[in-house]
Amino acid sequence: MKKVSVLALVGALFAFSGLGRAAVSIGAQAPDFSLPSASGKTVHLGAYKGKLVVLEWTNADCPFVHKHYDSGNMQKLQKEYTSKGVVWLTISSSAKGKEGYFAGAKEAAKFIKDRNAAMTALLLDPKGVVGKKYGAKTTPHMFILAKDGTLAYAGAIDDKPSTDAADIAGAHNYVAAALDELLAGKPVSVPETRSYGCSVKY
Amino acid sequence: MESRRKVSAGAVSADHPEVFRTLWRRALAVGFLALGAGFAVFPMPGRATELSRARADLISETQGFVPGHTLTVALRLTQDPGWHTYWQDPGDAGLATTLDFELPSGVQAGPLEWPKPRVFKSEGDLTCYGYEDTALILVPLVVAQDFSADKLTLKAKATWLVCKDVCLPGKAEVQLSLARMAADVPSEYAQLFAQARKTLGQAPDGYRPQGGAPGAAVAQAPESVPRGASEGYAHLAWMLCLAFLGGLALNLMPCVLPVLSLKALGFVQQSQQSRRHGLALAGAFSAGVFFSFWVLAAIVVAIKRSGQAVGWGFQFQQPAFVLFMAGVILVFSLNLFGLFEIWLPQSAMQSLDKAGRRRGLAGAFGQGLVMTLLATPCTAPFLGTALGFAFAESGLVLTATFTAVALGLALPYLILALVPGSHAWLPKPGAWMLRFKEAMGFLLLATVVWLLWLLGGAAGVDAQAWASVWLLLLALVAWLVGRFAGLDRSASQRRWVIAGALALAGASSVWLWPKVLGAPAAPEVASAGGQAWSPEAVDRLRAEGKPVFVDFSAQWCWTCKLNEKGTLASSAVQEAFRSKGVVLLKADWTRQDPAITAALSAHGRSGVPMYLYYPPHGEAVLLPELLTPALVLKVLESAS
Repeated sequence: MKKVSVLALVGALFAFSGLGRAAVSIGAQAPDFSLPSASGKTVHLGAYKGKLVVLEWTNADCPFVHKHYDSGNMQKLQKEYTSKGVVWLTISSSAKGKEGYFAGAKEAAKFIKDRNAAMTALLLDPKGVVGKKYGAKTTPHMFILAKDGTLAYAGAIDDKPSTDAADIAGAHNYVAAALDELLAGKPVSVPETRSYGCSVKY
Repeated sequence: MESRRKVSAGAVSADHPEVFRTLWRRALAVGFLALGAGFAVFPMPGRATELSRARADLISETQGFVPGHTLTVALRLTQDPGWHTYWQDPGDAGLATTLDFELPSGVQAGPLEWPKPRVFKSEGDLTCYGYEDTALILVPLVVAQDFSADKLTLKAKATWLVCKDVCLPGKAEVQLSLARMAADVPSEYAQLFAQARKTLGQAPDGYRPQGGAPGAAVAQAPESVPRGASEGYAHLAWMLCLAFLGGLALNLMPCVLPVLSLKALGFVQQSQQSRRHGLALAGAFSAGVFFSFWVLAAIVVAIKRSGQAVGWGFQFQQPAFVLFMAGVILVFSLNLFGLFEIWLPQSAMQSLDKAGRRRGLAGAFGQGLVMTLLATPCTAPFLGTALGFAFAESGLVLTATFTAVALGLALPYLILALVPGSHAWLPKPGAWMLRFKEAMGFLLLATVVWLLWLLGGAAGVDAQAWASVWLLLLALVAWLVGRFAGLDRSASQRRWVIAGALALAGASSVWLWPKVLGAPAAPEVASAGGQAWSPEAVDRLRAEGKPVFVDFSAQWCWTCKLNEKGTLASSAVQEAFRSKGVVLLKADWTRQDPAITAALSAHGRSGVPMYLYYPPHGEAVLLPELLTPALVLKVLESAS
């Protein structure tokens, strides 16, 4: 019917115009989501309300992710803060056929095992819906949610944008600093930084 | 080694040719292996391994160096097809190429100079800036007058990230040796340097600096921004108010008012039967009106978004936009004066009429659609004008503006259905409607005058004159179409006249636009004066204990010119500057100098104007975008 097709056209035009798309700002409520994880279960963000949550965007083959995983830096952070009650969710938003795509839970579980990673869960977002909701641009891109579910930190993992693992030792780690401040009940002194890394392969 | 092999091979060859061939091949293979191993263990200076997708070397603009002269060299990255490296601001992802020199004493390196990069977009709305095929990053080196050696050896470490679908980090140690010469002689690479110089220091199309460098903190909103946000809301409220009033006024137009009167009777009858039913019908009718406007808004937003991918949004802030709008609004005003008519194709009107005949709510909705479309000949001038000004705004603002117009247009129908007896208030249609329409034309003409004033201020009196000539020709075209292509003429004559008129309009645009836009910018009125800004200049002046006032502006920025001619040039402010010894520095962002862009984003701004005052002691003060003499004097007083 003509009316239906016109309505569909208008709807499509509005969708195309992207009126509804925006990244999350600091202090705003972080969008809720449910994603399948490497363990086979579905993980729901809302279940972690009342805890600090770290969202880490990753791409297994990106040189910047290699910098932090091959050196053990990322695993160290994951171990340290999950033991303090922080929930660490690693997310892959790589689309099918692109670098860093996990074909299924088994491949994702292999990633965890090979790297001896200690995140709470590795989530698969191949359609990129959650990545685009949060405005994840790079791998790695770090987000920290406060206990009330608002966004407390968004941006880079540290202040030395490079692929060289030797830079980690002398770099200031924004995530560790923000988590320490939040765990002590203090406000985050640097809530927003510009992230660095490979582009997320939507 | 080879000769020995040959001898032995030769001795064998006579008896066993196949053995000789095999030996020869083996010798070659071993030889190449040895060479390859040699390359791997001892990389040749300036050449990274072939598998890295990009190869770096250092090249010079001149064949040698001349003591006392500036020597320009460049890092050249030769990349495999489809692979790109990054600009100094890589964009949403990536890593800028770095170059660190190891120089002998007497040679100093200046900052890296980057040609204009390309824009790379990827899925997820990610934008990066960089170079494909060959990237050339220039470095000026100052060689001291008393540099005595005959040979200059430059060593540098380069790092980069080269990407296609995946990214590979790369690094190389590059080296270049140059001989001392008496004069600058262009090298074989001089052409490459000349090409790069054409766009040196230019930002990519549609560049929006983010509030900080990768890995660095993003500048949080400074004090003035909350005021800016409320200013933004006030501006939006003002626009929506105007749009609503415009929509209301449209009801008095000759295309709309008769329909309104007819509908009024219909609604009154419905309301008398059942008030709720009458309200529902009016609601459905209004919904039809809103729907038409939202379709239009969606089309415009889609055009805008597709244009933004090409980089239009940015271009529209230039004098070209003002010129275009002046032409469009002039043509619309002529339509209101009655010089020519806009008409809808018959087929569209017929099909919509059918939609309106259905009964009940669906019928009312259809009637709303029909009414809006029939009103196009009258509403087009105002919608077009509003659209022109709102085009630069976000999709949300555009939709809100259109909704406000729709609300104004539909309001009388809602009132008619809600308030019993209100139909008596309706003005009776008559000749006065045409006079009203013509009077509206003068409003639009006033807008054209304002736009010409803006153009003159930005591009000069000559540009303004040429723009007026173009407007004159447009008026002529409108007259031709109106008088010779009316509905009373034959279809073929209409076609010819319109084709000719469009050709005339096109030709005059092609002839006159370059004259308007190419004209040199208005000579700087000796108002603000001021030296050129640089971070070093600021540091130097502050070290001398002098207060500094920095004016960040650009040639196409009219708010800037307003502030310069109105406030900064005023006698009160000039006197205050003189008595306090304030030094005025000007940062000209017309060509988007990256150093100035960085300074803007460091203070949380993404554009000009921006005004900074550095008092003799203490932190810099950021002033608002619109200056008044009183404000500037207050800042000067309180900060010292």
